[in-house]
Amino acid sequence: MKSIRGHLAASLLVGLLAVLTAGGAALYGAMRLTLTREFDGALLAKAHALVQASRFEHGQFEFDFVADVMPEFVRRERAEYFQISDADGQVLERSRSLGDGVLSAGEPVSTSPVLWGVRLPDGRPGRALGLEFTPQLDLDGEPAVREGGAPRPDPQPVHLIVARGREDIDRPLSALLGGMAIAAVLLVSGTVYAVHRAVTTGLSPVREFVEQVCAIDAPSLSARVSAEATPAELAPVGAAINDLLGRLEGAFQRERRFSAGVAHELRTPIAELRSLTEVAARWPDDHERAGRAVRHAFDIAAQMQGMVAALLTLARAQSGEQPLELEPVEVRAAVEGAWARLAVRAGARGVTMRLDVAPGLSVVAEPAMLGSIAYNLLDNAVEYSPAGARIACLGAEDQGTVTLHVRNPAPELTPGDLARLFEPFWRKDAARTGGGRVGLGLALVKSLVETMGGTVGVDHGDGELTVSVHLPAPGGGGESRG
Amino acid sequence: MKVLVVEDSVRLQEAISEGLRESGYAVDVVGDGQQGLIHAQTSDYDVIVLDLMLPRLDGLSVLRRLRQIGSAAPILILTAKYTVEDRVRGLRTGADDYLIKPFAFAELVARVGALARRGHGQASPRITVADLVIDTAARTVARAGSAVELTAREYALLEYLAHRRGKPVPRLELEEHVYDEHRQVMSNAVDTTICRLRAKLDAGGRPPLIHTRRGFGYVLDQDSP
Repeated sequence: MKSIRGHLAASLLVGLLAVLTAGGAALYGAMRLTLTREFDGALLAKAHALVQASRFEHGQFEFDFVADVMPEFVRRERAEYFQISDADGQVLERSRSLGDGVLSAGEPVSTSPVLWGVRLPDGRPGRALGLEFTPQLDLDGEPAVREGGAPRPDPQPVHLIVARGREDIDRPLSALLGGMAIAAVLLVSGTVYAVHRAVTTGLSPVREFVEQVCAIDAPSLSARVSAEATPAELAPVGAAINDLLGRLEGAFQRERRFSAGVAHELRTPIAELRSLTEVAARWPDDHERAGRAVRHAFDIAAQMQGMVAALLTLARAQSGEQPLELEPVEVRAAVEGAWARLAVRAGARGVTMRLDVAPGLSVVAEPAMLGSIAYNLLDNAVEYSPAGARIACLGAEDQGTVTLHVRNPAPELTPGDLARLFEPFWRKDAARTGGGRVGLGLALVKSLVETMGGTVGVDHGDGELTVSVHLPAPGGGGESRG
Repeated sequence: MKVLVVEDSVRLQEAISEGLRESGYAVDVVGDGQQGLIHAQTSDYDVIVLDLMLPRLDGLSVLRRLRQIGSAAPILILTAKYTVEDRVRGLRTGADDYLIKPFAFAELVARVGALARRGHGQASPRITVADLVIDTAARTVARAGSAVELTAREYALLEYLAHRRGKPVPRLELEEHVYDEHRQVMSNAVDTTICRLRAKLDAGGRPPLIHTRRGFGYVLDQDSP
């Protein structure tokens, strides 16, 4: 699982550490360069002073070293060293600090100064400067031509090597390193703390958001994630959750209404059954009454059985658990089949039907489901039409959708009733007197149609109710498999 | 005691009316709210048993209108609506009692009896007139400690007179509260029943308790004024 907090903290920390490291390295490098330059400048100045002290007199090299002026070449502590040798490597002059030691050139010495790192005779690390120069000719009191006629020898170039310890470079640098290390420790711990704080406070809206969401449970589905308390970055999540909650709440409410409807519908027949049998049992010798009670009990059982069957079908259609076997089904045959089952009841009420569905008009549906849809539509029309009414059943195809209209006179229906028509257990006037009416027929039709990817519609005008079912036509592009 | 039952289920109509009649009540039955309202307004019922889910006019509207016009008839709501809100709403609208379907028939009878008693200002189920004791809960009658066997009709008449003891009750009122609207009542039915009642109650030469008010009706009392 990804932790935003861990990820943010880690990347912030790594980034800050990289910046700090780079900054420290740059500072160290600049410091080292400056110190080395200063050191080398001082070394060069010393070399020049030594050059000044060199002469060529009487044909040989002379050196006027004044120990007082340059004590560093004499002392033992933090001693500095020089050595002057001729071109053959013969040492002409060396600092007292060098004793009998020799400074070897790390680089070829030339007339321009060269510098290199060196290990000093006392073991310290140091830097050395090598320079080739020609000592000044001193002619004080010397004839231009030597005795014996020998020409005055020209001054010969000599090699000077000056070396001193790198302490002046290394000490400040190590002090700098130490300072930087302390600073780094402080910075890193400060950074860790700051990052932790920043990430924690930065993510606190997320935590509050999560708390809000966690507080929502089944009884409080009407709660919504508040928009003010939701960080902008999580607004889409909040909106999605609110949307989901809205749908859940709706579903729960429907479920509750449905359960309440079921409970209510079961209470009435149970009350009938109980009262009838109780009253009959009070007077066991009244056989006529007992006979009537038994007949009623049988009717009630049949009614409850029908209701349970309808409920099961509805639940099955809504759950969508069974895979659908969709195939082209002829509408007219389905309507005729349903009407045949209703003919007796319709005949008793003098209700007739005008069937206006072209033979061959087909929809993509599951045959049993289409039969159930047609039956429930017509059953509803037969039941709630006035006696002697004429029901119209029309079929039409338009742009890949087949529509089946069932129209019947419904003079008592008001426009306000239309919205509730497909609600389970809804019946106009709540009149339960009509024997086996449960109020599930149209709810079942809607569920079945929607399960097969269709829609239902309802229209009311001139005292006539039209319930329409839209289902995809075969090859109409609107085919869907649920 | 006369009861109006407003209930749309035919089977329940049948069961309730039969059961109540066997318990000695006169019962009128109607199947929708409008009829219920008309009956309740035009006749004086001791108890009204009212369903809530009714065709034409729902039970709560019937209840509200009855209370608006000042009807004080005790009303028992008998319904499948079982939630606390439903019960509270029913009682707040003016119902005196609330019974949820399915119900035990004995409980319905007991509640109807209690409401009828209360309607007559009688809290105790026992009514005593001199040495006559009527237990309206057990529906038994005793005179001077010995039980008197009465038919349902005789008992109903006696109980009604007992609720009004000391007050003359018109013959027509007796008729109305003891007989259903659909029963053809013989013009002298009340008189003959009273006659049989007297014979049973006053057996053994005990002083008469039911007295005749000529041209008016009857009164149940210790002494004839």
